[in-house]
Amino acid sequence: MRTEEFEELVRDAVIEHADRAPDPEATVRRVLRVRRRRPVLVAASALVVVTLVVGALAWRAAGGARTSVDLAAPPGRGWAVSWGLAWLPSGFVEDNRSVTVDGRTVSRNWVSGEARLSLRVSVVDGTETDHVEPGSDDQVDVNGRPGLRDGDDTRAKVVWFHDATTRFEVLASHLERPRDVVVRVARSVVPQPQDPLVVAAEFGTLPAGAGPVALGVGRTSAGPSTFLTAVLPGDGFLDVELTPAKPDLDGERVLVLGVPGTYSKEKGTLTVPANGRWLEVYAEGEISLPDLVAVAETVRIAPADARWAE
Amino acid sequence: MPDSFEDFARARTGVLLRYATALTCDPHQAQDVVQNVLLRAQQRWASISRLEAPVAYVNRMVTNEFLSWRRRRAASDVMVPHGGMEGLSPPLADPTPAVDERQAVFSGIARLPRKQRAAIVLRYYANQTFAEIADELGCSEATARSHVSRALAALRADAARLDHVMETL
Repeated sequence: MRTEEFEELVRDAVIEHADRAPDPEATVRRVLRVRRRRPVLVAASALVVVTLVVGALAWRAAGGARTSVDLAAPPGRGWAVSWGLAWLPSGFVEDNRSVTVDGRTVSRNWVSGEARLSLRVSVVDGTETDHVEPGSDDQVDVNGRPGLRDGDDTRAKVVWFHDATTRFEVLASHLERPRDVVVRVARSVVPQPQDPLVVAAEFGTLPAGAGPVALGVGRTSAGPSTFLTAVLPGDGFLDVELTPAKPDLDGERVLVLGVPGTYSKEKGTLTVPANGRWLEVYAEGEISLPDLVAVAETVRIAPADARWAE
Repeated sequence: MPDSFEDFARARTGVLLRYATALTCDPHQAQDVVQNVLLRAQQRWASISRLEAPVAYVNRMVTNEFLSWRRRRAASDVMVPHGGMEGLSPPLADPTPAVDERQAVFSGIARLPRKQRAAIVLRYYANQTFAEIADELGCSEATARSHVSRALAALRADAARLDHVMETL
């Protein structure tokens, strides 16, 4: 096919994507419904800004300006990534690989917009196979092995055992017919040795009641990132990421180890330059700004090196 | 140029949503991207409306929001609720997708790295020059050309793979 013809094909495909745009009315309504912030919030914000400015001036008087935080890193640890998918719905790309802090579950995650697919492989106690008894109500066949399916029209999962100590789980969310998709994806799981997942990161200070759950490597527009995840009391979570992708720096100015960063209350994200990259601390749940800063100042983390995410 | 933010939002949201959908390849994410951008633009409307080209400025905000969109990775770890097990229904037969070259390019665009995808959309949807793309993405013109060139090569490879598969059937 000639270049001009192929470019025309691309043009048509991009327009086809654009043609799937939602009706603008709902977005207009939602945006125009949001009013100006209430005075009490404005006053609180002003107080924060004054405090920050005073702090910054005192800091400047005491030393000089630094532009990037230097974070130490623990030694890197590696985990085998031995399984993959022979089939994915159209449009999905691998977004991240992670491992639980106990090292027992390795996850691979693929995304397409907001749609997500996950494959989790866990080393388990052999007695857990009792959970997948033939004859269960929502049993599915996964290449000759009994699996259990659970879920609804938004998300679904299939769980099955490869052997007495290897448990598989496939999850799908925010895509069409997730209950059907998880079964097809589960049946496509194949041995697929990859480079080991190597991560050098660990939390320092965490808010009271929080606990680390996973660490891993993600794909960004500028290359691989390192991340750590913790759960917060309630249903919240905390995500720390060292990323090469320059983030949105909107927000209030905040000092992290003497380096100016930004905090966006709207996005729940604290961002500061670190180790030649960007450190982002993102939380959903009850967590104060000083707690976010404490997390950023004490985390130990090194840039990721992963060919699959480049 | 509309005077008020409300006029702007009513006049431009549809166009922004189409552009964002082309960028994200996902109508739901496009809605989130545009909504976030408009809310920020609303807060700064007094300044933005005084710019020489407010429309281009907000368009660029959409591009930047797409490039920096935080994928809520941890949210994916939220487990499926362990509610009552639903009745077993047999899995449906796998639908064999009707594929053609156009479909390969359509789905291939969604797999491109974000900057390459943005470059492709700016080039073939917004009909921008390489200089304009470079300006929008904050890179050199050579890098903008490289993004487009690599994206086209990847899409061609997708289409070629499909050709090969079709020939072997």
